Amino acid sequence: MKDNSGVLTTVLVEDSGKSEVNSKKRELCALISPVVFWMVVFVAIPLLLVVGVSFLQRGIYGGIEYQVTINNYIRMFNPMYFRIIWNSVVLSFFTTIICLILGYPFAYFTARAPQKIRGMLLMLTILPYWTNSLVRTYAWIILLRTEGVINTILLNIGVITAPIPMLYNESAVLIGLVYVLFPFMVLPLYTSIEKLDRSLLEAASDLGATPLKAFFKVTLPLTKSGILAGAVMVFIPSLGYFFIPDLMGGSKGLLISNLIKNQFLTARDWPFGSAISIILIAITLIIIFLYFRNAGSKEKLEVF
Amino acid sequence: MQEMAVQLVNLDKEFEGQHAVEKISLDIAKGEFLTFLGPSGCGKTTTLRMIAGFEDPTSGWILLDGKHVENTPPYARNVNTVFQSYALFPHMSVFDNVAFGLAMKKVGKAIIKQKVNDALGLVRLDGFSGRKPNQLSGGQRQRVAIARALVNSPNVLLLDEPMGALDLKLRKQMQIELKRLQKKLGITFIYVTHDQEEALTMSDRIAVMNEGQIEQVGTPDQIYEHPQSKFVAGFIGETNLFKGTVQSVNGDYALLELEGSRVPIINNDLTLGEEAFIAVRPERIDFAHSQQENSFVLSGWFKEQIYVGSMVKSIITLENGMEVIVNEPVGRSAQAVLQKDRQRLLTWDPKHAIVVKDGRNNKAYCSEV
Repeated sequence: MKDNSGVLTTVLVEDSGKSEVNSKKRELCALISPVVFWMVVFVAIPLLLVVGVSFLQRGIYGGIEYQVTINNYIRMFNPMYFRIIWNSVVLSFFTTIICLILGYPFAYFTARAPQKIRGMLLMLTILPYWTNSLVRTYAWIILLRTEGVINTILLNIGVITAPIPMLYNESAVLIGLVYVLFPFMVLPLYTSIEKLDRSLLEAASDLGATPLKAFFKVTLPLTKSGILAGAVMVFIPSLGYFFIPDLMGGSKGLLISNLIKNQFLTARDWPFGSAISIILIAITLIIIFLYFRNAGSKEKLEVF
Repeated sequence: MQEMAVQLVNLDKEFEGQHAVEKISLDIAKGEFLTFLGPSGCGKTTTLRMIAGFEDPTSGWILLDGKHVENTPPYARNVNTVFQSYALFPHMSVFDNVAFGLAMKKVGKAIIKQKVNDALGLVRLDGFSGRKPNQLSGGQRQRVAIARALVNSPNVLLLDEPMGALDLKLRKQMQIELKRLQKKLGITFIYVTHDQEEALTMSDRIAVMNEGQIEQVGTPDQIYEHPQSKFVAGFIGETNLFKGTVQSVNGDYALLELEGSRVPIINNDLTLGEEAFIAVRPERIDFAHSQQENSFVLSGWFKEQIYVGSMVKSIITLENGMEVIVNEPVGRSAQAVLQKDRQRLLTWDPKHAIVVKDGRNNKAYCSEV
């Protein structure tokens, strides 16, 4: 009798242990299910649709014909498309570099500003982004065009005799992209600079490093993760922002984002547009992969 | 005349109108181990940071090797600091951390290697040069910080509570090692701590600081045996502070009216009728059996006994409510369990009662009693 009761209790204990595990599992499921739902509905399904369409054919009047083909990908092996992709990558690269050069000092002084001012400076960085970016792009057009604000002022004070063509060229696109993506560079930089222990800079100074040397030996290497994060946050979206080259670049330099947009809206060739989209996603994934490999351990990551 | 490594002259530092350091003057000799001791917020770290160059003095002068350095940036001063948090560069190996100062001075690679290895040997970290700081224990990090500073052979080494993050046993061990290192190298050490035991163990001289001022400078035994102010008496070790009125002055001796008893004390510029404080260490107080055997006794009631290993601490409450602590070695104490509220008589040798000045800080002291 005694033995039996002993067995019974162990069974009961085991049982309660199991139900505890089960309830934990259930809790976990409840927690992640909204995320899973979101990812499936808004990421996985659209992506699968794009992948699917990229292997179909264009109908004569712009629809989709349900015939499997890889022609859309083969079509891209054309120097013209290679040049477009190359141009896009180069432009994004320069956008990133300029954002970094402008953003680093900005983030540095923001992070080192007195606590009271710091929040305000960050707010001012983000504030313009509460306005629609299309509207802000038009504001740039008003500034830059031939009869625009800048040219008018320069003409009136006699610095120039003929208006400078500032709009509808590559530098206009560059200005637009830098402007729109600037905060994406500043925020991760700010985070990593603010986290930097100031006593490390004191230690560098104590050991004989001038401020300039301390910056290159200590500050820069220790904010590398912020630089990488900012670069990724600027580079990737800059590949996809079609409206800026559209509005500010005129029809001259065709970029990958415009190409995709044109395929969907103008040429009505959805399958080919999808195929280019897939290529763009592939480029993005390669960059993210490189980023994760470079950033190393998870704790060093500033975003994602 | 002895050569001075550091001279502080009327050094003053204000932060937004608040005095952190108030007109302190101090000469620190070459090869000396000097400790700034005081509670947090007393200005000791600020003083150290001014010597290092991280803070600019509001007024006053700092001389290193007889030269004014008020306008010299930290990187141009021949002093090095061991930081409280160690401040090791996390992205560099132990070797690169220690080599940093030499690399800044553009020393040749071969010499750097030699010197870094010597410095790591000095702090017993040979074989650790390839590790990153996050792969080291707290004690090892501290040694790297010390090696990183010492490798530059500074005129003065500044140490800002370097033991703060270490456990007690390691701290004791490092105290002895650090003192040994200092003797061996003959470098001037300026050490900042709030731990009085640490200060007593390592220092040649201690400067006790309170509210931005130096209350007393002296050797550890001067500070311990002859505190000059209430604050110093209370901060260094445990003490009992009695307040009385001077009843008579007679050459070298005076009588202090205290709790209805006339307690003989050593005359220290006392005047008749003056209020005076005397500090008596707990281990200097004896239990008396009767009034007759002793020149004076104070009467009180036994409250409790605390066993602290090497000794027994008894707490006696006097008539005015003051609690007096009496320490006895374990063997000598009355082993019998004492009843609470039993009357005990206290006495001490007059030469152990130190007359202390009011100092500037009654508040901090009183809260400690």
